[in-house]
Formats: sequence, structure tokens, C-alpha cells
Amino acid sequence: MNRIFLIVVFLGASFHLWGMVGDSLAVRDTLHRELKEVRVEDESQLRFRSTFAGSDLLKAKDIRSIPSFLGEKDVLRALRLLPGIQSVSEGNSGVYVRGGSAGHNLFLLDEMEILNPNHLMGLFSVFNPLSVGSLEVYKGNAPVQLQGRLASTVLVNSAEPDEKNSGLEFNLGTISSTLSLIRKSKDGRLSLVVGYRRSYLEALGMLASPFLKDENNYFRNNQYFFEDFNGKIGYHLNAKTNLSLSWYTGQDNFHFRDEVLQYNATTDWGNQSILLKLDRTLGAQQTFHSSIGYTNTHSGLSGQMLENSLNFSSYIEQYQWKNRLEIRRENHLIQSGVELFLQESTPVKMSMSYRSDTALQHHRFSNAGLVVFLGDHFKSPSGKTLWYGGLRATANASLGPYSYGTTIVASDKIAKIWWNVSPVLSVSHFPQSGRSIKASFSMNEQNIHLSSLSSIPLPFDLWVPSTPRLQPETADQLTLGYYVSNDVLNWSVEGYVKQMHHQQLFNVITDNTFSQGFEDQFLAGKGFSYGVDLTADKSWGIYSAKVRYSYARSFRSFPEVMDGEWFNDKYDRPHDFNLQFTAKPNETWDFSLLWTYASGCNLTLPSGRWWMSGMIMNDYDHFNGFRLPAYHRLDVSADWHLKSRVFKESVLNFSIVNLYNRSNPYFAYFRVFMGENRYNLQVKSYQISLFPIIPSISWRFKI
Amino acid sequence: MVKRLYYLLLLGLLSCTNQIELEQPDYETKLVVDGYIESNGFANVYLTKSSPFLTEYDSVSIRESFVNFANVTLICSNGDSEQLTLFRKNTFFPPFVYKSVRMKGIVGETYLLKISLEGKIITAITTIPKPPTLLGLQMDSKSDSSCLFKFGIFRDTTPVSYMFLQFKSMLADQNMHPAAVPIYKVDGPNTMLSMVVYRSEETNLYLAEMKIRPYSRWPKTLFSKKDTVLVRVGTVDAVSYQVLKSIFADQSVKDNPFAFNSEGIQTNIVGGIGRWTGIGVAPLMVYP
Repeated sequence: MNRIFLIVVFLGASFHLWGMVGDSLAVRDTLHRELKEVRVEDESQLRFRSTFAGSDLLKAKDIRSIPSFLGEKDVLRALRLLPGIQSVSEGNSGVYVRGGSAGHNLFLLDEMEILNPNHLMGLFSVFNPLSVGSLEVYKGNAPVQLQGRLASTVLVNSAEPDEKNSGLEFNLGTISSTLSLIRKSKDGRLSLVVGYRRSYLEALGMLASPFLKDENNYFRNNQYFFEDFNGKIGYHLNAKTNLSLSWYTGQDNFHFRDEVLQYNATTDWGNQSILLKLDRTLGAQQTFHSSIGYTNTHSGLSGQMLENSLNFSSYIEQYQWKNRLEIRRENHLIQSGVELFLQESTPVKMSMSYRSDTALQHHRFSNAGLVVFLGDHFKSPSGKTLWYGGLRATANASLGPYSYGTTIVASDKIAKIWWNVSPVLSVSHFPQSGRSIKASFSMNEQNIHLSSLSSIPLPFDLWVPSTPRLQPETADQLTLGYYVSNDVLNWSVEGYVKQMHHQQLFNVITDNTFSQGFEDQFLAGKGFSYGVDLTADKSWGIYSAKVRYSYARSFRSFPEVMDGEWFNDKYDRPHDFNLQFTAKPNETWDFSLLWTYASGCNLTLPSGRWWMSGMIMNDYDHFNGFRLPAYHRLDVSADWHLKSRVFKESVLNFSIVNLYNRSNPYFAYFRVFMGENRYNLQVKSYQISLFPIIPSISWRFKI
Repeated sequence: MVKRLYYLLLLGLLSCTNQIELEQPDYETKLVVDGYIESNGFANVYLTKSSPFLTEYDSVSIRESFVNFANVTLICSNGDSEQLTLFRKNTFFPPFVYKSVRMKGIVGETYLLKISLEGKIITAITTIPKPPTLLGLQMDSKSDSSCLFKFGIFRDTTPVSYMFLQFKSMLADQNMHPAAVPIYKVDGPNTMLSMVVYRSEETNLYLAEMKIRPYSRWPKTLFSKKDTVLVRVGTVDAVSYQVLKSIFADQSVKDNPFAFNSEGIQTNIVGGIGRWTGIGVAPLMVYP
């Protein structure tokens, strides 16, 4: 499969070249402490308690309760089981939240922005499951300091070291292994969380060498490698001051060669992030937070096939300085702040050569921006209503040098400034014990755009900042929710509508006319989505069950696409359902089962065909007019807790992904077959599926 | 044991391909006109009906796509007109063609095509522009057995012109048909241009008799030195350029994950789809 798609990528490229942050847990805890509310305990309780409709929390135990995939409990897999988030995206790195696109999500690992949160072409996330303590998600409606994307903000927080979780923990998986070290000094002033993970697919190639010829040894000919290293060091300087240093670095590298096709290619991508943070208490009711951070992501492909060679790379780096002041008053928690950022990006640097002909593309952009925000959480005198109101103002300057056609902007000038003010309003009402009603409205803006290159998922995407000709994307979202929490059943229903403006669609120029600039390859349009999310959680005895169902629709319209007619977004999947069932019959065994179902995604294929000059031509009626077959899968998992005198904890995990071996669609294509007889002609549709039934064993132990 | 584990892992990691059934969206069959008239040449009009993409053809059902019962009239802007005559043509698909037997294309004239079929009138208009001035066909040797072909044109005072390139490989036993990149917009007067001939497959060859494909896995730019290649360069009007550009741009993106056809297919046929193209053709170039 990898071979197929890399060839497709290479050929495709070859042919067409020519031509905010705050510690929201702390905020909420502070708020609840100040408001003398009950501290939240689990996912359904947070959904019930939070001021914002569409927010969820996962703790480490929730993440560890899902079935393993190739021996790993993946953080983003757990995220995808939440309502309003598409639960399947096999082999696709994107997270799709309430009609948004893959680039509409802000991933923050200990407040560091991670632009590409995936390993192994989306099979694993970059977040180390052993060192993660909790995960929070705001689905389109968030406090102003957490805004910056249209669809969601995902906060991944490292574990807070305590007596229970301290130690050195290993997970030996099928294709990779993970370790984490969580420690706190005896005086409590120094804390440390470190995680490391590495794949060893190349070792499998070596193991198989005695049994296979080199040319048949897939892992010998094709080396895949990924690793990541993340951590957080906290230091309690004095009674009023805390310092912390967080970092992440990760890399994927895939080398492929095929002697027959004379094809040789390497693709790589990764992220690096670092953040230094100061938290200081200013008097009894004020705290100040300041952080300075750096993050980058890169991706690239270089390859040779016959007489063609291609080198493609994309890179973006971002510097941020964030300051936030929190003021607590009776029934109020006011948060204000100022942030500065600088982005340097090279969305495309590409060279392609064929024999003596060489074509080059190199596009570079610089942006700088200022964000000012003010938000207030407050409680009504009756104590039954929580309110939130906030404003976020953004100035984003596209800096020189910049050129488009005859427009040339010098390096010391500003090419364009985009101004925006985003209001957020939210209310949460508790009419009686165990029931709440919520409404949230946000006008979100995002100044950086993820442009997926392809109609099939690829590991490399282009991050492009707002430029004079690429307007910031905006979205307005209204969410309403009703929540019930009692001893019998916790359930909720949420509905939302969202309209999106200045959506970006990347299309390689499809004819041989020349464009004036890189930005001409983007189409700008609008989007609209709506949906309903239902959840139900039930526990009885040794059993517990979680049911999630979403009915969601998402549409797009671009003036240049089919004369501006509204069409289904590629990831418009009306039905998304998952059932998670767990049982803990004794202290030795845990069992879990997960069944997921989702409508197929859409793709554009010709709707008709016709003849011209002896050639078969295509006829199109609609964009994204075909829908792939539905996706469904059953995963089961069992944890065997071993008794040990050596280890604090020792768990063997047995998992089977896709128990009934369903061939789920990853990509579809057509082939034209000529029959034996004259005029026999067939067009058959095929799908590529990534994962058949996959059993795996892993061993997790803690010293 | 290790080997078993390896195969188990391989099973898990490698993908599989299955034939699937996709639901064909509702599709209304349309009349397809594939017509052209070249300068100093007779009009040729092939009529068929389009099919839903996922339907299968066999020797019976494919015949249902032929249209050989229409009334086709050619009307020239100089007042001349002729009802086209149906001929059988076994070398090409579809095996019927409506042709003029008296009227030939004249540079600068506009031609109206009027088709009467099943109570409906389908029309299309095209003009034959002035042919390009050729500077010759050049063979560039790339190896002992392969070469590429370039042709040169001299642009005169016309500010914008649209080139249409067709070729025929005798080695591949082809008919004259559009090149893989057949359509070019040429700006600016008084320039000399050199263009490369890109090979393309001709699907209908499959429908005749299966032949050995001499250019299987060859780069699209290369021809065999043993081949005899005929190249025909012509000019078309702006409307035909847009139509042909949309059709061939779609051909080039159909297998490309980097690009998509956002605009569908354009046509200059009123009441149907396809193309009606007036071509001002330069003299045929032949190698060797």
C-alpha cells in the first residue's frame, strides 16, 4: 500500500509541477474552588459541570481503557471516541470536529502548540500515552485565551507527579516501545515528567532476514522509523513562584525503494517545540502567567523514479510570548492577557527535474501578530447559573518581502494587516440537581491554514499563514446542550450550527496557463455544518458502558467549484456511532470492547463517460458526489494484571483490532477493463483497505 | 516461530485491495457531439450518448450508445449549407460518422452545426482561425533507440492564438488523435515557439483488436526511432480552446491525487455535451 501511494504521490507531483493559552484545568478548578463547586471527577461530570457546551475531559484511566492498537493506547484514538469528533480516520492523520477541517484544531501539549500530532501516517498520535495525565477538548466554543482555531482546542496535559503515579514505566508494544519517568523531589519543589518512544520496524526486517530473500523482505527494503521525546520539568521557586520547562521533539522517516520500478523515495516529517513558563501569585487573589515558546513542523519528500527526480519540503516555525493575568473576585474570575507571535513559513519548496529540464518553486512568508483578550467567568447570586463573556482581538501582519504579480513589498514593510475581534458568550444553568442546560456562542478566527495536498491522505500537509491574498478563516458557532447526571444514567444531547467563511482549498493548477503566485493555487469559499450529539454512560456492578452517536452534516461552496454549488465536504459523514463496554470481574482481569460505525466519506468521481476522438472522457455532475461504503469495526482488549514482587505494576495486554476482519475503505479508485471480445468494456470500483484483523500483545510494567 | 510472527505482523501492516460496489449517483444520459471541421477539410461529426460512469459495456449495450439516426446539417456563415451523410468507419469508435461530401472548411468562416434528433434540436458554432506558420519538426535523439519530437511555430501579428496538437504513431497503429498535452494558449506576437509532442493512448484501439503496445512504460515524451510519426498542428478559436482545455485538463488530473477537477467539463454544444471544433490546420509533418 505504501508503495502504491508513494508512487501515486510522486507521479502526481511530477506531472503537475509544471504546469492562548492557559491552564484551563487550573482555571476551572480555581473557578470551582472559588465558587465552592464540586471538583469534577470524570468525563461525564465535566460535560455536566463545564460552563461551555461541547467540552469534554479524558483522564489517563479513560485513555488506558480503550483497546490497544499494535500494543499502544493512543491518546487521539481516545479523543476520537468523544461525541462530535469523527471516530474513524484509518490511515488519515486528521481529526474532524463538528464539520471542521483537519487544520481547524489547536493541539497544545503542556501549552506547546503541536502542528502535526501524528506518527506513522496517522496510526499513532505524537502524545506519549504513559506520560499524559489528562486531555481536554473544547469543540468550537472555548474561553478566549484558548481560541485560535475554528473547530476545537485540544489540551493534552502531562501527568502531575504524585505518590500514585511516580515511577519508571515501560510499555513494550508490537512495533514500538514507550517509556515514561514521573518523579517529584522529596521536598516537593522539583517535578519531572519525561516520555520517550521509538519504533523498531527495522529490527523486524533483520529478524526476518534468515527466512526471506532480501527482495521479498518488505521491512528490509523499506525502512520506517519514528521516535519522540517529550517532557516537563517543574520547579517551585518559592511560595509564590513556579517555573516550568516543557519540550517535545519527534520525527518520522520512511524510505522506500523498488528496484523494478527504479523508484527510490524518502519522506519525513516531525515537530519540535519548547516552552518556558512562569506562574506567579500576586497577592491573595491575583496570579500572573507568562510563557515564551517556540514550535516548528516540517515535512518533505525526495524521490527518484526513472529519469525524474523530485524534492519537496514544507516548513513552518513559530515564536510566541504569552502573558495572562487572572483576578479572582467574589463570583468572578477575570482573565486578561497579551500575546505576541512571529511565524516564518515555507509552505512549498520544490524542485523537480526531468533529464536536463528543472523546475523550481520556493515560497516563503513571514507573519507577526498581537492578541489581546479579556474574559470573565461569573456566577449568578442564586448560584444556579454560570456565565462567561469574553473578547479576543487579533492583529495579524503579513510582512515583507512579498510579491504578487507587479506588487512588490520590501522586507522592511508590511504587506497587509488583518484585524479581527472574536466575542465568546456562554451560559450554563442548573435548574435542579443533576440537570443542566447550556448555550455557547463564539465567533472564531484562525490565521493559519492547513492545506491538505491530496484527495488521499498523505503524511505531509502544507501550513500556510494568512497572506495579502489569503484571508483569515472565520467561523460562527452556536451550541446548545441538555445534560442529565444521576445514579441511574448520565446522558446528554448537544446540537450545534456553524457557518464558516474564507475556507481554503488547495488545488494544483490544472492547466498550462501560468499563475501569478503561490496563493493562486488556493480557492476561497464558505462552509456550513450542523449536527446533534448524543451520549449515554451507565455503570452497573463490574460493568460500564458508554454510547456515543452523532448526526452531523458538513457542506462547502467555492465559486470556482461547479459554479459555486453547495457540495458535501469530503469528511461529511452523517452517522457516527461508537459503543464502549468494559468489565472488571476481578483484580486480575479487565476487559473492554469497542464497536465503531461511521458513514463513508465522499469523493469526486466522474458521474458519466463519453467518447471523443477514440478516447474515453469524463462527465461530472457534482463535486464529492460519491460516498464510500460505511466504516465499522470491532476491537476487543483484555488486561491481565500480573502479581509481581519486582514491579509496582505489571500488565499484559491482549488486543484484537478489527475482530471480524472488515475491509474498511481507505481510498477508492476505478479501473477500466477491456474484455476478450470486441466492445467489451467494464469500469470497476476498488477500495484500498489498510487493516485486516490485527492481534497484538504488549507488556506494560512500572518500576 | 519468528517467521510466523513476522507473517502475522506483515498481515497486519500491509494493505489489501477489494473490489467494491459504489452507488452510481443519478445520471441523465446526454447526447455527445464529437465534431470538427478543418481548413480545407470535410466536416466530421460523431454522435453518441453518454453513459453512467459505472455501467458496463458489451458488444450489445455499447451499440446503444451509437447515434446513427440523426439529421445533421452544416451551415456556413457565407450562406452555404449541406446535410451531412452517414458513413460507416470501422477503424474508429463509434463506427459511424456524419461527414460533409461537398463543403470544406474555409479559414475565417463560422460554421453552425444543427442536429435534429428525437424531436430536439442541438446546435453548436465554431470558427476556423488562420493556421499557424510552421518552422518544422525536429527530432532530438535521447538514446540509441529513443527520441523526442519538437515542432516550431512562428507567431505572426495575432495577439493571442490557441494551438491544437494531434499526432499519429504508425508503430502503435494509431489514428490521428490529440496528444497528451494537446492545447496551448500562445500570447504575444512575433515570437518563435518550440513545443514537445507528448504521446497519448488511444482507448478505442482496445475496442478493435488487441495489439502489442510498443510504448508500454515509456515516458510520454519519448518515441521509438523506428516509428513513423505524423504531427498535425492547428489553431482553434477561444471557445474551442476553453472546451478542449477543460476536457484534457480533466484527463491529466484524473489519476493525480494532488489535483482535482473543480469545474467539470465545458462544452460548446447547446443541448448536449462534447465539442464542435473548427481547426485551421498547418501542413502535416511526418517523421522520418
